[in-house]
Amino acid sequence: MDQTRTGKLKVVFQHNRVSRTLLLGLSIAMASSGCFLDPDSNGPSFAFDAQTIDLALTRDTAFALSNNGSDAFGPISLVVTSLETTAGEASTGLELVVTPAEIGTLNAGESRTIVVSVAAPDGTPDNAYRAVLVATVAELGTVATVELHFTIVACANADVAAVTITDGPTTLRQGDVGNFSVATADAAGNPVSGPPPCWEVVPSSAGFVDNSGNFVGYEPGNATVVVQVGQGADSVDVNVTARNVSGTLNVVGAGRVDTRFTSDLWVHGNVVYTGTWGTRSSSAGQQNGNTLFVWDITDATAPILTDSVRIDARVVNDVKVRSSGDLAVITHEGSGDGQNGITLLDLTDPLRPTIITRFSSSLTTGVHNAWVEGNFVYLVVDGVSPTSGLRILDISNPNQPQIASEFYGGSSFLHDVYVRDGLAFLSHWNAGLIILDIGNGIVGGTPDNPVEVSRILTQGGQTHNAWYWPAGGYVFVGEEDFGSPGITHVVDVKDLQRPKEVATFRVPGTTPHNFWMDDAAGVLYLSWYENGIRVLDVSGDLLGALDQQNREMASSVYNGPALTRNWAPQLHNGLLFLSDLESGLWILRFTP
Amino acid sequence: MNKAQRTGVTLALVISPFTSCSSRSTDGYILITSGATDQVFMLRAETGVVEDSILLDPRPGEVDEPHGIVATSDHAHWYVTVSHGEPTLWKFETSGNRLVGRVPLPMSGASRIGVTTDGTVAYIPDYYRDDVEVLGEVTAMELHSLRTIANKTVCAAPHDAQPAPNGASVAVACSASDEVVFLDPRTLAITHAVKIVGHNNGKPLNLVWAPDAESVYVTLNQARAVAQVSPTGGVLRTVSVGSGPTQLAMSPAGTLLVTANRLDGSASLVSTDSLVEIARIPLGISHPHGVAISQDGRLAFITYEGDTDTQGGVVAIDISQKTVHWRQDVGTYTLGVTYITHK
Repeated sequence: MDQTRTGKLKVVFQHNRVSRTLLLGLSIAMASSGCFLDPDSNGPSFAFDAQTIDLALTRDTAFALSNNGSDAFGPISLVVTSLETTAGEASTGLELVVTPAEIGTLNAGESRTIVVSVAAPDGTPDNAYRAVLVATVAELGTVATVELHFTIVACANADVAAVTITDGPTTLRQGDVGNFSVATADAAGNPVSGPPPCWEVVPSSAGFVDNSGNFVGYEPGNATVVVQVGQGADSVDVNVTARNVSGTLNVVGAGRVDTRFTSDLWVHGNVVYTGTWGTRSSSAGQQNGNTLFVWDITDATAPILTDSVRIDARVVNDVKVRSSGDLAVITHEGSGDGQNGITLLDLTDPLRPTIITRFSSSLTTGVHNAWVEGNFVYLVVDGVSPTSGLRILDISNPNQPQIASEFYGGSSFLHDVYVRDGLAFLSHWNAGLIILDIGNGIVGGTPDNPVEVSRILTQGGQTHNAWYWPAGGYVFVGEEDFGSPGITHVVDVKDLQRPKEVATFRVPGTTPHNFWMDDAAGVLYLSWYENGIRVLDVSGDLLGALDQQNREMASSVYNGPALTRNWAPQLHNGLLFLSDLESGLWILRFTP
Repeated sequence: MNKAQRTGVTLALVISPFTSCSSRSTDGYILITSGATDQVFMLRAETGVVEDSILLDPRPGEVDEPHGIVATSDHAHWYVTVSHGEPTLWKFETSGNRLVGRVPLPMSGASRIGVTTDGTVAYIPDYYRDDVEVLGEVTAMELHSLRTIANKTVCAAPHDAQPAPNGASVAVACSASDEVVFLDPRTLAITHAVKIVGHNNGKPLNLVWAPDAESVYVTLNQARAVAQVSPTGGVLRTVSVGSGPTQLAMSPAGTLLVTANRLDGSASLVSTDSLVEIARIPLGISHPHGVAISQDGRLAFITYEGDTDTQGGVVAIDISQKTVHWRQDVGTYTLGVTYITHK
């Protein structure tokens, strides 16, 4: 075990050539850093135990993190950063898997073994790579780092002597996707099939190309697309032109709620319903999330609070109105009687809802989100158990709801449900996005018997919410991670039974929350907590990092940077209605 | 993600500091969990003054609900469960209330924590509060390194798991099957089970061992009673208490039980010698929940959840005077409580 404390990062390079498999045993040269926070031995002191490790071709690589100080610390997160070629270019799709990703606690004088493996998808370019593994304690920040090195050889194939790009665009608008085709030949010039091509964009900041030769430009200007197979290589220059999208967001009106935290909203006709969340202390004392507020928005510049519905809950996390406008469902969590469940509301007078019934049978752990579609209510039941997850409630007789069916996706809790075209999209946290047939017909499901179509775990997990866009063939998935921070993932579901992640959208600082989409315009509205509301052009094919493609049309931190915490958007009659955790209801107008 | 932060103590409001006739003073502090605000508060045992608050908020956009809290017998560490989302166990050093560890728990909903006398192992039941019968597990966690050492399905909706003072057994209150189950402390194999008969739907909820490890006392939440149960026999005795007893605690001398009676807002004092309710103290609070007793045996601390319109908090009872010593509104959905001698 190396206990050297230099205070400097010591880097040792050792490149070896490795044949790739789908999951490569890690071949690493590592340099243990001396990122000690305090040279005094009584202070926090962590170190990885090796400076170099010989390449391991077909197995994982294990090493240790030691706590050499005098105090216990934890949890300690282990995160790979800066995974790139040794020349400093980004590597897409390549991943280092670290186990465990978090050490619960590390006592003074003790060590914990860490295992790292490389997951390299087909088409990962041959190169020498480097990454930094960072150990972090929340109260201390970074406590130790180690630099990881490995080299991949993939495109070598003795049979292929030449590769030629045969088709593809030479001019492309920023953010648009073009496809390149290739032909391979042997030394005699005869066509020969080779391994999957390795694609690369030079410089890497100019764009992204996936394993199938689909290219998207990031920066206006010239991008060189390079392909390599065996001994052959070819390239083509692409002129990336500016995307030129823009828009403005202007505040039209607001309905302030300062004494309770505001949760979700739903708009129907000239009425907005806003939920309340958690516990808030204010000049009015301490107020819980036990209320649904009702707003008349006949004059959108001046919403009028017309009514409120008080229920037994500490969180009214969600409200949904049936498309016919006659009925709403609101959710209970933290109820005083421990029964939780839901309350169905009669909206005969939409400005003054009346309670039809409260239903809690098999919903007593709490209901976090809901969706109403026809005579069925889709409910997210709290818990990590086969009896939690999705409950589908038949409300043909709203006075006597009946459980029609249930579904639990396993391994993690269900957080949200979105229903469209006979499909239910379950945001199932670390179990990923799960698509159920509840009447679409693709695999014969019904509300009484939902059948799983497919599932996908987007990178990072923490699948929080989803919006399905049938015309585009995409699902937009929110990853609620306050640490990374969170990301919006784009999943291609043109083949619903084989979803694949194709793009991401990031905004620094905090994490996304709920979404709404203008399908016809191809515009996605993303609530992003302290980052306010973001408006994203998602027209056309989607690939790579959307935040690098000048697709963001507008954004607004409408209540100032200190007081904005945007929870949910809804586009309605040309206006954008927002619920804000801190301040209630906001109404904005987006002008492209 | 890894938030355990000091937070303001603005939620704490002293409502009505009652003063007992006693001239004695109780040293130390109590720690309480505020389920709806994702916080732990530290209060002075003698006065109820809030001294510190710690935010346990792995998912700031959600209510995660810190629930059970317990200090080791040497008071060097304290542990707290976070119940919702993906349940976790958090480990703190008492000195400075410093977070030193956190691990996910393999369960649906973490409630109480039982720690061995030597502070090396915790037993945590998998309590899934539903109206269908769900078999739940008990997890044994080695506390030095926070590693799971055993995990076993035990019974329907286990709510509390407490190791015997001599380490010979673990008693589990099975709330949905009306049983008290005894486990081997290493393997978690069931060694004995006692059906609570004569109290239909009695709902055993929480328990405490007698100092001699010859019996456990368990609250029967729906039967308004406490039962004394033998780890090798059956129900030995029962006593009626207030309505909806939830947690209970035993005085250091082992002579007195204190129960928090959730439905009638009272606390019951029960003599363990005679198993007679010697006092029922109206507390004037909404939904009493947790109970802890100071090391000197003078004060009992009873948390109250409040309701959806009101704040939670803590009441201290002067046991000998049978009076409320102080009351502090602090937190919301205030649940767990443990006593520590120092900070």
